[in-house]
Amino acid sequence: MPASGSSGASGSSAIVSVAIGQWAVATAPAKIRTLLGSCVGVILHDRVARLGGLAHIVLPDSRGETDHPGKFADTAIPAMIGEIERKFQVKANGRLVAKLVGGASMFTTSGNANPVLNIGLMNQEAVERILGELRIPIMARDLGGANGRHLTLDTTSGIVAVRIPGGADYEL
Amino acid sequence: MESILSKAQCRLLWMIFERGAESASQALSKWLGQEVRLTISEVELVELTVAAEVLGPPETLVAACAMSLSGPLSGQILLVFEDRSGLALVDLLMHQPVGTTASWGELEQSAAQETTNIVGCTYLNALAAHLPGKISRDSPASDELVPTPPTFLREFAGSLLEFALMEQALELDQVLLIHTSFASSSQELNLNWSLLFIPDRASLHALAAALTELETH
Amino acid sequence: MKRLLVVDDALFMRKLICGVAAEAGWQVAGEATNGEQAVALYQQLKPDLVTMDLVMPVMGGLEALRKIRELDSQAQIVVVTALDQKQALMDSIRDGALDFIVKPFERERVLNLLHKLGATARN
Repeated sequence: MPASGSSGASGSSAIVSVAIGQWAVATAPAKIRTLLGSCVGVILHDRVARLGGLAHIVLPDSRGETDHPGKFADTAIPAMIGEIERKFQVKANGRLVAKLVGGASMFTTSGNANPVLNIGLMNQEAVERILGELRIPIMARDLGGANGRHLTLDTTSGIVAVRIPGGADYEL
Repeated sequence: MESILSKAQCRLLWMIFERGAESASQALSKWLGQEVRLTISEVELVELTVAAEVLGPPETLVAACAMSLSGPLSGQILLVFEDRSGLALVDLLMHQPVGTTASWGELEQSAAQETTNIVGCTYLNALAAHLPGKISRDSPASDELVPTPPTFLREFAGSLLEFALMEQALELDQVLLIHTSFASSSQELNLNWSLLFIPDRASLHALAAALTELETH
Repeated sequence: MKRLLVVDDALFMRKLICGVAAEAGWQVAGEATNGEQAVALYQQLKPDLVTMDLVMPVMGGLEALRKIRELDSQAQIVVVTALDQKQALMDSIRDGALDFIVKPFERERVLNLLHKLGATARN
């Protein structure tokens, strides 16, 4: 299994965890979860086939690098879709919808311009562009802010449950 | 891709940080009125996925005080603990039985912040003394390692690490963080704290150059 | 009674220093959380002594030290900091600090200093 690849689960009450720079795909009733900081989580869901994927993306552009496809928006999203189609024998076009979460930046006392803040925006732009090119509509966005987010995708319903530190849980 | 720091350079860095840990042990023992010892784990470049687990299960809610650094060594210092062991620190400082303080009020947060300031600065003082002299050619006239006042926050351990390591991750496949753990001879004191040094890329490059010079002499 | 201005961004440290001051029989005339407040309060309160932290938001202790000494060349200011580096020490002395106390400090050190200063007439 490649270092930044995926794991597919199906049919069980499995919860698949996605680490930084990786993705995972699964079918109902499995759940997929990840913990985000400044990275952007891209969730894909097919309501009819009841399956989905979650990618924990670090940077917008792989610039041809092939070692860590899960790390970059331009390689992770196509790869994740490819795996959905291969693994679950479905044609994802037309049915997949997306939700975007994350891209926060921790408050620091440094007065300097924050390159990480820029990356959050660049990731968002790259992801939106790529999803636009693939004609995958974005149903919800929960981006920015200053705190981490723990999210769980329910592949049955497509609902993304979000937990934040010291705050109320909510759903997207 | 070639590593930004060789194993030998990591070892050198470890030795320098050990001096910082010794100094910080003394200062913290004095501050707490209890003998505590800081030890550094191995200094090594690791995959992001490995670094993200350095504080244990990523979904653990932790309290942390963060200081930014500027000067020849720039980046972040984080003092991290779970609520229980963080509040125990406050009890120690207030000379009350461990378990008295139940929540993070203004004074409690301030106690944690000041502890971070003291431990962090003591570390920096030792580093300033032992780091290779010409760590950065663009360094200002002063070789001072200057921190910012600490900020207090509560966050998921994994998210905290992601925030702190993101600057390195912009360029590097493997990241460097220096992890210090705390131990006490006292039975009741569960010092489940972590001190993390996370240099930024500029510092890593400067360190690599300066450590190379050190090696060849 | 001798009057003290305590300058430190950490509430906890201010409380600590106030405690020592009380033990030494000094009155705490005011507390400042950054250098800018320190300068303003100094002018307002004209304390007999200032304890000055270095690392603070808005304005740091060295700048505040300089500004207060410009306003009052007789100002008595003791730097109390965790930053024990050559540059900080030299700058503090050069800018007119009376003493440079490193955190964590021995209670005795500050007590003795306050007793000594309390005994001498201000000038």
